[in-house]
Amino acid sequence: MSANLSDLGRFSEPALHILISLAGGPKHGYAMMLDIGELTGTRPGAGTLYGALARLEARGWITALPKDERRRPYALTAEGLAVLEARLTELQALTRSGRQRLEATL
Amino acid sequence: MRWLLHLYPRAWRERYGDELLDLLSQTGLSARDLLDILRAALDARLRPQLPVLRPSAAAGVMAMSDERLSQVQPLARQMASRPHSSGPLTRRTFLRNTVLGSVAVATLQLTGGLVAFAWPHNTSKFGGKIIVPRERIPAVGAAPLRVRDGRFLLINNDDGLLALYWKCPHLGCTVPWAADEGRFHCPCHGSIYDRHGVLIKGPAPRPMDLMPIEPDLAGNLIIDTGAIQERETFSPDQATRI
Repeated sequence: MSANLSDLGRFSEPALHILISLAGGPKHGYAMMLDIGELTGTRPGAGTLYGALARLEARGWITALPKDERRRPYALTAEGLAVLEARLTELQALTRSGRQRLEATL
Repeated sequence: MRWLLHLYPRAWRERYGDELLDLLSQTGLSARDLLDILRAALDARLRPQLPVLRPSAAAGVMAMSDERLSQVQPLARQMASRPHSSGPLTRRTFLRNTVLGSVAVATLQLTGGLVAFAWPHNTSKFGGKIIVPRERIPAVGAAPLRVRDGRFLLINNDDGLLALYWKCPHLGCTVPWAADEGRFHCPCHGSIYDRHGVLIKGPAPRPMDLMPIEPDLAGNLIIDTGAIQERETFSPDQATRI
């Protein structure tokens, strides 16, 4: 199975947000949605959220925990942690290059 | 809202359906959410993403509890016995795809038709923005330029340019420029307006209406014939200087 978030196509960004959200501890769907809304300023739609979530679970990057009453929390797996780590490093490099070019033009 | 789940393939629905419903009961279902679900359900059908049993990954965080195992095993068996994406086309799947396909086609046609209907065309006629090239702008004190497509008269005074909507505010006749009088004179009921479109005498209730003028970088004028403004009197800030 691939080990790259960007293979998820239009779901790669919501998937990244889910991983970041779960890095703060296990959460169920609604809690993730609220958390992502706070992190990014826009709440993902329920369909998009669960589309990304199903992909992450299929790849073994997150795992479902036992149901807590009606809701099922999800947690990051070790593999998911590594994927998140790799993606954040990429983004950091991208941000750095962007900043450098921006400063060079100012 | 449970009907919504039937848009998703059965295996997906059985795994995530309750959670999705619970989530929707919290957030409510706006038109945007509905569209989002339609898209996601289509995606789940075209590219099924069902959890593969991979104990090594799950064990990364915690050992699987018994409860979790008991939930996962029947699903795994069921998925093994009824492969969803690559198996033979069942009657159920075929019918569902047919219905969903027709609904999708009908929705697309309706949306496409609505958009095409509402799309503004003829934007360079009355109601849209009209460009008056700089070389056609009348000189100060000269007779106004009559712009038929925009239904206005562009006049240049000492204090700037005015685009006067040619419809008489009295009863809607077209007001012509009376060259011999040097003012606008409505042929219907005799309202007379000066070079600023202000009523000199006659039955009209107010001055001629204005259209906004915006010069572009090349010195041409863009007249917005869709933003007609009424006014009580003339003030110099209504005129555009170039």
